[in-house]
Amino acid sequence: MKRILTLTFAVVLTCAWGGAAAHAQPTSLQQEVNQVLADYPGGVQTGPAEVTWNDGDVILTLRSEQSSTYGTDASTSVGSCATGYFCGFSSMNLTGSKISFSSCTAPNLVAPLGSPVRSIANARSSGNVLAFNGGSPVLSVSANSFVNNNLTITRLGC
Amino acid sequence: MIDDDALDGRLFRARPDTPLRGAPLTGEQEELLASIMASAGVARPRRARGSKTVLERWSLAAALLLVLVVVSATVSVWPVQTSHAVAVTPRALQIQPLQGNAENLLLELSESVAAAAEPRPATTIRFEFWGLALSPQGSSVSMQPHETLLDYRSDGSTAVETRALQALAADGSPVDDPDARDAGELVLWHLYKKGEAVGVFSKPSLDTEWGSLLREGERLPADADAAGYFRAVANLLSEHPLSGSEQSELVRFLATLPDIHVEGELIDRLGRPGVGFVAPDGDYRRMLIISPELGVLAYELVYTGSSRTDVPSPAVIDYKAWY
Repeated sequence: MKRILTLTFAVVLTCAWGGAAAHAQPTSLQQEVNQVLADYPGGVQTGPAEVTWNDGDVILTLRSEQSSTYGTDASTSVGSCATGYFCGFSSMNLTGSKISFSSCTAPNLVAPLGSPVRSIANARSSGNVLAFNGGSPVLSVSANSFVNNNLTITRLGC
Repeated sequence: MIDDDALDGRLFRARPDTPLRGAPLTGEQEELLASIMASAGVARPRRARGSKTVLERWSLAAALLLVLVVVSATVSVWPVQTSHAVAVTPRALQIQPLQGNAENLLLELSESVAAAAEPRPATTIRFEFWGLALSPQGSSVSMQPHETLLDYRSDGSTAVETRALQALAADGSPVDDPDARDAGELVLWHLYKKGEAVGVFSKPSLDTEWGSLLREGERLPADADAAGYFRAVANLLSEHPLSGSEQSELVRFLATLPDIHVEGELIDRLGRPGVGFVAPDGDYRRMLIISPELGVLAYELVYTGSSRTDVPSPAVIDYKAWY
């Protein structure tokens, strides 16, 4: 029978894993994970706040004050798309080359990527990002989230 | 009057032979820029012809002369600018020429991949990637390499995890960049629940009609060129794990594409031997590196044009290596 250990350092974790949002975790939480991995060898990090030993026999979930606002905290980025920006990537799941924008109304052309935009991250704390093919919006990305796509996209805006 | 968006598009499509960022424009380049802006209707509003007074004309001429003198004096004493703000890009791979046409070599590789294929189906994807980080102002910086792992779990969910790798100099040597993430630092973690789409490609199988699968996932036209298929292969392999047999069939499909040429034998960025195949794509070249045992090892996008000011030419501007 699996044992699940949960260390509660502060308040309740409100992040919804598996939803549309996906983020880099706060550095301090990663440091906690690193410390656990160093103190208890043989573990594997299996999530932003999760360490697993013996193929899941033991699972440690770290919870912290910072992660209580995970998903809406303006201090979090979305993948490598920095806070406050929205980004187009040349490959799925925020991989490949990246082009970053901060102005909603600038031209924000994505052609310099040299490849179609295949994923879009919106690392703004509020407001949707729109992907356009010419003048027509073809995709909307909500704040603090990312989407994959195979559409023709010429520019991003919001 | 044309808006900025349309003007940017017109400038991009014109693909002028522009210098590197920071370098001065030649007379021809200034004329080209002026003609593009004039055709886009962005010339400054002018007063009616003949509306200037004689005094205004002489004042303007004097001012222009003064500016010319100041600029000439400045240029004559200013040190020559030898470096431009271009992104550091990875070294070019060393190519050893290889005899044979692409179709035959790809068919041979397909057979050798099939012979070496393990029967166990693949359930994970792991790849290293690097690219440019571009700004709206047209500048680029070299992105830190990253590693992504996709784990297709037995419960139907899929975990995606991306971590930073050691920042590298152009020659591949490690650099101590205080702004870089620590090697191993988690950048992205996301769980797709069972039934949630991880990406856009259908799950391949041995019965797959590869051309159709690649076209549908990448939204390529029926008459897509090899460059489009190469791009699609790179995205497919970053989304679905392929067994050795499926890799073999994929390589066999690539052999049917007409516009591929053999780049040669090479060692990829992870130190593995393979054969490079290139598909031209306008100002870019897309290359797949294929191993006789493992199938597609890596993908590289090389810029070869003359219109970009943010990177040298030729330069690798994007790569992925699966392992």
